[in-house]
Amino acid sequence: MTVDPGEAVAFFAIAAIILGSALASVLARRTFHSVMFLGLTLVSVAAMFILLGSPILGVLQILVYVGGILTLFIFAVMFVAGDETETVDVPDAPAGKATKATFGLLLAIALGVYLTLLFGHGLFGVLAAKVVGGTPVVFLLLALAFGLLAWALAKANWTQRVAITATLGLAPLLLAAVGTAVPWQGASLQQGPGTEADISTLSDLLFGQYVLPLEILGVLLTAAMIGALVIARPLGQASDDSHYVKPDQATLDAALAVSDPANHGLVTGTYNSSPTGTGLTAAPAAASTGTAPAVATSEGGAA
Amino acid sequence: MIPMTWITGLSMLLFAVGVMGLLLQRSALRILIAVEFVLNAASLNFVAASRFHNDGSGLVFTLFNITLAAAEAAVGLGILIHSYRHVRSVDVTKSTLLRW
Repeated sequence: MTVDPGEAVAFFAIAAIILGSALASVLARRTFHSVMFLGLTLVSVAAMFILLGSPILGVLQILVYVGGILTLFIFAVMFVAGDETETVDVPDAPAGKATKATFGLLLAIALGVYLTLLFGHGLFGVLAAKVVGGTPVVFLLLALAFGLLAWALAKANWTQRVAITATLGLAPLLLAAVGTAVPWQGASLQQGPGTEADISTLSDLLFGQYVLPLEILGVLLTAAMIGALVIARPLGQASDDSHYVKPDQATLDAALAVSDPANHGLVTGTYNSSPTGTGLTAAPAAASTGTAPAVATSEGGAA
Repeated sequence: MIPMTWITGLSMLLFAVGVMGLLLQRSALRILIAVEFVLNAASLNFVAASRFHNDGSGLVFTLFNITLAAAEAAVGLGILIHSYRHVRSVDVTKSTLLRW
């Protein structure tokens, strides 16, 4: 099995970034650095997904993991800011220049690989074919844009600005140079769940063979959302339910009368609204004695 | 085409880093971060298997994996926030109420 050299270069670059940033995340002294390196790992794994022929999952990884879960982690870090497990004497000390430069360089390389792989095919590839100079010029422009953005956003002295611009600007350029210099046929990316047929493959399976797990996942996500809201509720007065007025029996009977079990087969009974009650009971109340056996017979007749 | 052994080795190493972080951290927040590494290692394996067996099911399971990771991170962070209100610390060695 011959390995395409361009693909091998990209694989080892992304693998090195994945493992390096995972180690940095685990070994970081401050929690926020750990979260930042988690973000870098997730972007690198997204690049690896694209290299393995599934750009839809690479994009979804960025959208859900980096855009959702990482944001959640950042909020949690802000919530428990300055926890005593951090091993830095000055809790508010910013990251050292080495950490900033390393992180910036690795992030630029990971994003560069991600963009190179994502836009090597498809619409952006078509546009790159129309631009004079092709893909390297397009990535030169992207690198310049990244660099200017970093320059505008960096709140640092001018040497640090030069360093940040250089790393964020040069790294996609380097990757584009590597990608175009090394003979990269890109043909192997067309095999398997290929790049163009990738989304339709995923959607055909997701809504065909795996539609039941998909729906169950929807229920699970709803449950997780409700559970997280309930668990993280404020304590004490903010979650006081004393303003809740329990409806009286007449209101409950009226509500139950709408969902008539004889027509819809719904379970019915007297809704016990007392504090010691357990909800639905087959209580011999005056109003529903006639309906309860009727429900049983109608359901038995329909079954 | 990248050999399957390469991507499986990468997935194993990432999994090992995640488990190491899971076991060696004191902060509950960092433990949750290490769990994300473990889940990403599994996702890498799924996508590689999907590629090498020409089957799209690996992509579907990777999507499920990402979704479950999101749900688990949300609930885990909710638990973290709730316990932080009581114990006033994210240090897992400080939660000793159920010890013998």
